[in-house]
Amino acid sequence: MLAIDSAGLVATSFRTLPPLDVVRAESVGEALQELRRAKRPAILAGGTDLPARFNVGDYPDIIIDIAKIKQLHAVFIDKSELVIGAAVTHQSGSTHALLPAVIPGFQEAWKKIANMRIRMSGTLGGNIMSRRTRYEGAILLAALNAQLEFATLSGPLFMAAGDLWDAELPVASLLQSIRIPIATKPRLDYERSLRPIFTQAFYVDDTGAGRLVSATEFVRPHIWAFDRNSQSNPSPEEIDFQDPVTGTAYLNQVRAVFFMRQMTRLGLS
Amino acid sequence: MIPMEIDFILNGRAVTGKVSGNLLLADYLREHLDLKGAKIGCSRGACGSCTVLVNNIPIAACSYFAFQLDGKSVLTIEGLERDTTLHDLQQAFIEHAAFQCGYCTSGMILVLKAMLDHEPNPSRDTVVEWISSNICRCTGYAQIIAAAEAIIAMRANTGPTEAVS
Amino acid sequence: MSGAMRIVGVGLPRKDALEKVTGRVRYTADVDLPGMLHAKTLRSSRAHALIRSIDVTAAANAPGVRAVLTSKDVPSHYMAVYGYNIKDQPLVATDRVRYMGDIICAIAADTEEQAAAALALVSVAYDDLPVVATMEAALAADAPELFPEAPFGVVPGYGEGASAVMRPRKNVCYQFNYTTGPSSAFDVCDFVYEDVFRFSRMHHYHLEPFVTVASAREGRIEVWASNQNPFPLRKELARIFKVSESSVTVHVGTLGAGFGSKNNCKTEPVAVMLSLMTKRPVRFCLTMEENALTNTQHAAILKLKTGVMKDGILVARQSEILLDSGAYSDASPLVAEKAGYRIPGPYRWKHIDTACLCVMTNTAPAGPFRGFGGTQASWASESQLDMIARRLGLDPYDMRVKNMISLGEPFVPGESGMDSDLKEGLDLVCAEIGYHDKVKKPFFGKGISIGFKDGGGIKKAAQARVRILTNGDAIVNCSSVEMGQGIRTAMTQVVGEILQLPIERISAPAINTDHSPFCEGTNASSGVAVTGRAVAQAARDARQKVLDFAAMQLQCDASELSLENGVIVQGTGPNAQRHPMGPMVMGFYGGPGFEFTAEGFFMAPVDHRAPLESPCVFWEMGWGAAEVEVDIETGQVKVHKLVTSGDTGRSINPLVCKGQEDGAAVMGYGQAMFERMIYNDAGELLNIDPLIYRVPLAEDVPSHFVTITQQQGHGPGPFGAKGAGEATILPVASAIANAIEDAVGVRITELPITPERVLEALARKAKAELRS
Ligand SMILES: Cc1cc2nc3c(=O)[nH]c(=O)nc-3n(C[C@@H](O)[C@@H](O)[C@H](O)COP(=O)(O)OP(=O)(O)OC[C@H]3O[C@@H](n4cnc5c(N)ncnc54)[C@H](O)[C@@H]3O)c2cc1C
Ligand code: FES
Ligand code: FES
Repeated sequence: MLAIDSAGLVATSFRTLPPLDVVRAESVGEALQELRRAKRPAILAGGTDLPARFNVGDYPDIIIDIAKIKQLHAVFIDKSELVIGAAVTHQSGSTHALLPAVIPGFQEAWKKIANMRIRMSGTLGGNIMSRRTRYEGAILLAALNAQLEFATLSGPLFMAAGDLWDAELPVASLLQSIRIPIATKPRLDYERSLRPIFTQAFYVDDTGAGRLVSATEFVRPHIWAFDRNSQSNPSPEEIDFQDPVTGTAYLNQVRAVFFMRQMTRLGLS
Repeated sequence: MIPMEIDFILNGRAVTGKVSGNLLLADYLREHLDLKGAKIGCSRGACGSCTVLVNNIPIAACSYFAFQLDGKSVLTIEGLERDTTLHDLQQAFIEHAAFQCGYCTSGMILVLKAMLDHEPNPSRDTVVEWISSNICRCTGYAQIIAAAEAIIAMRANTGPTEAVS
Repeated sequence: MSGAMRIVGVGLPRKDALEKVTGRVRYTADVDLPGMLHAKTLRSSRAHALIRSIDVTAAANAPGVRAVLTSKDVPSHYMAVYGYNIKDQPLVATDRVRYMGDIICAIAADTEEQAAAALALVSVAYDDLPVVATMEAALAADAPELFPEAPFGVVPGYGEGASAVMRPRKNVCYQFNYTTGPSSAFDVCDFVYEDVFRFSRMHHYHLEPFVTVASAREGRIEVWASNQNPFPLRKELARIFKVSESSVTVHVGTLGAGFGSKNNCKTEPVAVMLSLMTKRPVRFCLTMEENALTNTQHAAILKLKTGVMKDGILVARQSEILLDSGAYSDASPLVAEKAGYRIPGPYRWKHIDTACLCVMTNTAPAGPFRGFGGTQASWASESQLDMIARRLGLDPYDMRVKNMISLGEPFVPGESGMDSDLKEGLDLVCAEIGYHDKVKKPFFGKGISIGFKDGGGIKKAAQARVRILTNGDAIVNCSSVEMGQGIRTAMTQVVGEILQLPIERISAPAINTDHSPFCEGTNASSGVAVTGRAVAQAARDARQKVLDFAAMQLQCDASELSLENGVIVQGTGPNAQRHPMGPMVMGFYGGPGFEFTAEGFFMAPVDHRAPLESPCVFWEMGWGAAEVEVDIETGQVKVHKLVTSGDTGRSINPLVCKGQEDGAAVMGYGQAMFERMIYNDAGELLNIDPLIYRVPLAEDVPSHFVTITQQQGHGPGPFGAKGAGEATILPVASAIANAIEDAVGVRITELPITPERVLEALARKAKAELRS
């Protein structure tokens, strides 16, 4: 519902959406130009999250549909990175033949996101750009140390997936691709059995680097990086989760339990 | 904010329509084309009672702009019957009473249609996975699953029937 | 009826099947009248505040706006407050708001978009008041009074042992009491146990929203409502808007479910008021978020004090139940009656003493929800029974069997006899999960439960009309609302059986209060057991009229005749003569034909010896059993098997009954495991987003999920039927909690059974073991 400071709540929805302009961009450049002109632009990818914005009265004045931008739909390997176009859907991305070989565990994790209806149109880019705590793209990608490649008017902008929560993006920025380093032979384990209360992604690679991303329903994920070379028995420290629904003691307990189980599944203990 | 002209296939027939940018498919179908089979429950993509198939993919019509139809093919529940003959899914839903209030029914049937087109011989788990796309608050899902399984068994016996698309 | 039944008891395709699988069905949400305007409301963003001023000037001049409604636009001679026994909910807020979501202002405009845009121009000045978001806060000594002035209300008549008072203390709008037997019974008990249980609050989450289309002019009101009680709604609208009740017409077609919520006034008063102001039809349709702010289940705190003998014989129970009623009373007094009345469970007692209080808080109003207080009561009662059995070293099964009421035995003095064999049902669900198998896998456990409620409503009256047309086709008019439960199918099957007529030839038209026979409402699982009796009587009488007419034509005795598929059959066996009705009727009445019409009526007898002044129509029993596995490191509970069972007496349509039991059980499962509305201390609903509020999906249902429909045949309804639809929501949560204790020895007393609560309980147990 739309909260109006000086008055109250109004139940908005797609049925209360004011008139707006539409651009069906054919190229990244065209999309950027439109983004710059608009006051309240909204990029439209799979559209599975956008209406939630209408429901809180967040109305765009222009919709920039990126479906026609071919390069955003590609999945390929570029040198030492797995590159996933921002508009790649959960379904096509997670079933892509490249995945199992380059990042064991990633496919299984990605396949669990959402449901068939959402997976077939929801995109990985839309998932992280929704910037909602309970959406899982950001959890997996932070664990994988993915770089987000944005197109902006002043050229490409790179950002670690885990930094997106705090980032102030330029108004005209379009997520183009997600680049996941694969040279170090990363592996992933994703524990989702407690979703939405708590989920945890565990990353390790051949250099001994490890990363644990712990996420709750209502607060942003916590990222903990460790090095198995210098820490013989890494164990996650307690986090002050401050989730409004689930207690911190409990979350830390399951974080530790899942950590041990994930270690085992990854063959580390 | 000039209305856009779109060409698309509606339930098997080529149509041209004029739509404004802020028009969502749910309202386009229900208010402009008088196809009220897609129901509005949550307006947020969560319940799936507004599900239609666009290029044979289940889409929540509350979360899809009318203009996005341009060049595509949309199937609504109204397009599933052929010359007053019910689709075998509709028949199975009747035989298994796979609905109660019926508000989710159009969407559930279309999700299952998409499933059968993508996976002709699905397991029970696959059925559960697909119908977990949508919410049915009434049935507890058992009879929906039973209807789906009946069709799968029937099709396995009689060979693949020609799928309506 | 002689011989085997051909129509009742058969899983025929539902009457509404074709329209529902083809999408042709029309709900109230689909009603579209020419010139119809659209309403939107401004709702309070404060949980508790005084309204200092409202400025609607800019909104009134906004494009497309046809009317702006605030409390000062409501004519002073209207009685613009509503509720069941207690009229405390204003049409729009007057001097104060009592919860986040209270309606302050409504606008009718040409489109929803314009209405919403105009509302954004309204400004409201509030003076915040202290918020009571929980029952504890509301009952605290220094809590603010939510209703400084007592609203108008009445206490209905009660029978032996039952009573009620309004406003017994601050922020309690109603208290129901029931006592039987001497309290000295506690003195002889070997043990007395006191336990407290907490019950969470669910959102009904019906998919068709609350919606009304109203078309009103001075002195005349017509509404198309998504409402399960059209006649009480008619009366309430007439009272509010001061018109004669005969000038109000309520149309009810098919509902996209309700689960209890679509009662009394919801969207109707605002729609009517705006229509009166604009002289145009007005549609007021809520969003799912607004549904959650309009009506909810009752959260509850249940304190049980139970006295037993050491062999497990139950003796005395004293209970105090607090129901979180939210900001307005709605049906809370009625739910309190039922929660309080049902708390003893289906067992024998020497003494029962119950108080059930409706506590007002600054949260959304709570009202009827499938189970109607019985879900709360069964959760606590069936949990405590198991706890006591384990404390006494008894098997919870044996303890139940020892104490349960037998078939025909009254629940309490003055009540009707139990109409199910309770042990038969319990044995069925026990067998299905292998309850008596002695092998115990570590961390696995099994639990059972018997859910209990009275069904059929209190002093509920229903009329029906059956019309047999010229060729023998029939129409059944009755006012049970079709909201998914299949009542129209059931009624046509009842009529079909009596008239020996296929249901394709019988219609059950939508409800219009101008023409449809009176019915108090579609609630309390009363459709078949109450209204169905009126329908059956009407069908029998209409059939008799046909036979009497035919006897006159054939110059024979009516007892020689029978009716079969529109044909009068004279005599029996191979020599029987068959006379199609059509020619005979037209031969007498002429070409236009005729209708043979009969009325039926049923009302449960009023009897002051019964605590609720009318003995229960039937008992709606729900047996449950669960097998769980507990992860003791994370507290996760996996329900491997969930089995529930209800007794329909006789299933008019077994497919429909099975669907009702499946649906109710899964709803109970959601509540047991995860589903709940989460409020913070500021009275804000944290999971209002329809995606974040979690309801069971197909993938959440346990893989071994079974419902068993019993047809024990003792029901009072047509053909031995009882009601169905609520039974299997009752036992689920307690069966699971009982299974958890069986598995790992900890007791969860609060719903939902989150992994966090399980782990906390395990930690408490470990600590206690360490100490001893
Ligand atoms: C019923 C349901 C279940 C779901 N379950 C899950 C789940 O289990 N796990 C999960 O993680 N998620 C879940 N989701 C969230 C789902 O919406 C996302 O997973 C999906 O990926 C969003 O992608 P989209 O393409 O549809 O986004 P859109 O709706 O198209 O866009 C989302 C947001 O991102 C912005 N955006 C999109 N693309 C770009 C871009 N390239 N550059 C910049 N900004 C962009 C948009 O402007 C918008 O604000 C669920 C959603 C629903 C409705
Ligand atoms: S109304 Fe579209 S998904 Fe619920
Ligand atoms: S039948 Fe009512 S929601 Fe599915």
